[in-house]
Amino acid sequence: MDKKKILIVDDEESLSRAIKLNLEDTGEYEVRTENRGSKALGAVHEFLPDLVILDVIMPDMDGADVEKLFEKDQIAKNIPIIFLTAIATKDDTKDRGTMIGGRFVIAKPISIDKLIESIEERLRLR
Amino acid sequence: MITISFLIMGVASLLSIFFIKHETRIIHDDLKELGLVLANNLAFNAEYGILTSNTSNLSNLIEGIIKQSQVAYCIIQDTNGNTLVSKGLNKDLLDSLDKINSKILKIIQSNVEYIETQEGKQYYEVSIPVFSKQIDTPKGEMGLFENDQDSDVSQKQLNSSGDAKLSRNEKLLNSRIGVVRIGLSLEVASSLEKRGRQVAMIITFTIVVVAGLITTLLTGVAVVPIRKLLEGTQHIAKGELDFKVSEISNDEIGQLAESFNRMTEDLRRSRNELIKAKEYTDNVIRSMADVLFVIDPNGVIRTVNSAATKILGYKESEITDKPIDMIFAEEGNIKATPNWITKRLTREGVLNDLEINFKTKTGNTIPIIFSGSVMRNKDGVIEGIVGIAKDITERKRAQLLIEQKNKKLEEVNQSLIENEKKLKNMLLDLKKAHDDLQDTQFQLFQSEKLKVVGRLASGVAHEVKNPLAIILQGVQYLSKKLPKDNQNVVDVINDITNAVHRADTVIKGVLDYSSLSELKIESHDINNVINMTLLLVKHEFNQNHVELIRLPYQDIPKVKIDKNKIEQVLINLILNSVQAMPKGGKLTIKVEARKVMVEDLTFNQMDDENLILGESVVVVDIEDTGTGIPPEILNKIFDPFFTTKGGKGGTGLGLPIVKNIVNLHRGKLTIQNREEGGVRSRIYFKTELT
Repeated sequence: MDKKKILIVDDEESLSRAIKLNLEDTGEYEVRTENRGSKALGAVHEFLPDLVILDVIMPDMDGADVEKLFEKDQIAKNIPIIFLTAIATKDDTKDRGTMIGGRFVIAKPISIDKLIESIEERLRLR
Repeated sequence: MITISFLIMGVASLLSIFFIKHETRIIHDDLKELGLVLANNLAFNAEYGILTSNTSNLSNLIEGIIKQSQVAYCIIQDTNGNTLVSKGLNKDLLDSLDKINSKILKIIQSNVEYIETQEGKQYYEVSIPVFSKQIDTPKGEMGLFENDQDSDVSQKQLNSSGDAKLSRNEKLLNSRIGVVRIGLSLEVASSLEKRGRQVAMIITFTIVVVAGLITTLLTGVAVVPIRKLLEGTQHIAKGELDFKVSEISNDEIGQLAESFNRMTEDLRRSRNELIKAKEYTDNVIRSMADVLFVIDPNGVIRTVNSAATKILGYKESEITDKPIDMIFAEEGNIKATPNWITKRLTREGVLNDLEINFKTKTGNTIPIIFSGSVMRNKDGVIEGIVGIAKDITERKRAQLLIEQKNKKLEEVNQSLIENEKKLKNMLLDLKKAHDDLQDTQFQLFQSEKLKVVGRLASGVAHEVKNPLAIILQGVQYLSKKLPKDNQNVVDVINDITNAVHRADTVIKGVLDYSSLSELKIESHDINNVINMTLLLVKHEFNQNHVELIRLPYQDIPKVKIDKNKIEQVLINLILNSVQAMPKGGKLTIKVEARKVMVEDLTFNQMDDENLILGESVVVVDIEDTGTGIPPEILNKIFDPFFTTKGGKGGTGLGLPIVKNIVNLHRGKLTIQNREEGGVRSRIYFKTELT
């Protein structure tokens, strides 16, 4: 069985790397990381990921802007997105993240087990 | 009875008279017949003697006849009237006979004459002509009753030819040779008559006496008692029930009289009872203060009481037997005509408290309350209608007065209400101004201070959280790569992981306190919000052996709140209470809608007083039976970073955040020790302005 492809877009490269290492360590995921929102769409076209983990606040482009680009793109529009954010809300109480305004949001920091659970759930619902 | 006696006597007398007459006639007829027989015999035997003028022969003949006791005298004469022989004559007789001699000389058939002499003696003289044998005597002429003029033969002869008869009579007259005359004394007959009359008299008298006796007897035995009874019935018929038939006899009539007396006594007793009952009823009716009248099924007044006549002004005789329309005023209630009332009564049986008007004799109308009911006999047939009416003139007058006063009061009230309205409007304006001011203040606070703080916190959080995320992911990666058999390594990695979580919790609290996310205000039923919250914390109750008591609640006004924030508040307060009862206890939740009272304003742990006296609020109480809060720290519980939980997971931001959320809703939160022990957390929510 092919590995599931995950694209992580986050300006915090050390976080992206740590997540990538943790995911690939399981042996079930192939992970690519990008540090700018503007690079996200190109990476999708090249990498054709099963799921994208998107940081909400990035220097050049917010996660929400990246999502808008994705929605206009034939390839990207069907790919599930997990928003990863450092902006804590009351929903933080839920470790695994939750739907907020139609988006699936996970608050930082998150443990790898909870992240994998959420990824698997999103992939199932695809 | 006397009539019967007279009748009997009359009949007896008549009978005796008839008997006497009949007897007399029989005696006389017998006498006449005897005379005729003797005379005929004499005439037959005397022919020879007369023709020969042999007087001794004739004397012998009459001698034999005169011996008959009834025969008084006997004469044989020739056609010239010369007496050939005679016997038993005297002067008195001769004088009387002179009057009829000429008549007798001419007779051609037997003849009977009644003679009464001067001396008062009575006789029948039977005379028969004596014919020579050469001449045919007419058939029957020798018969016993030749004096019968109506015999058929002679009648025919008379009718067939007068001339023939005359000539025949002439012939008979010429062929006569003499006449025999026999006088029969009526003395014997008279004595017989007399005796008969006496017998009759005796019989009559006896009958009368006997009848009289019987009558008297009967009258004594039967009639008198019966008459007494009759008299009794007449007395009783007149209503004299005290009358008693006196002792009569011991026979059946006596018993009849006795039972008659008993019957009378019963009658008298029951009549007395009836009279008493009627008097009682009459008295009740008369004494009634209300009008009572009875009408028959045709609507005719039958009975009225004194109250009725008094109110209506009629005499009793003036309204009885008059139609009911006479006392009901038509203009009162158009629907309630006498006709309608009667119809409705017959249909429904009763009619209660109908307000209508009476019409008095003088034409005034009197307001009354009328109730009527149908009076039926035991077969269910309507006998009449009993009506009761109460004069409500006074009541109406009082009502009118009350109405007038009410009207005035209402006018006063109206002006008061208007004033109050004005005041209310002013108050509303004031309140609105106050609200506007608060809103403005709030917005200023929100937009300026909070937004600045929020943005700062958000930035800080973002900057801190990313490193935390890196540390967490990194530690987790390393933990897999490092050997598990080194306990120190495992401990250190766990410590780092815990430290990351703790740091995260602190940041979360800071973010909440600064309320980065704006309030999402919507209308909610606070009871629904509480119920949802209780579902989330249910397991906490079970784990800590806390019994939840949710007091019953009614529909209460909705409140404008951010549901998620208030849920957070409730969870916080409930969990605080649960944690205050480590050995279990009771947690009571109570919701009520009411006005803000003075007591609500005297205790305040907030920075501002958001409530206004008298405004509508929904109050939520969360009460526990826990340890309570030490008084010395009670005024510090809302201070940020103040915690009693030491290092056991408390950030010291829980209650400050809760207070802040309630404050943002412009409500009020108080946390106090209860007198009974434990803590009461109370939240005031302003209800929606309607």
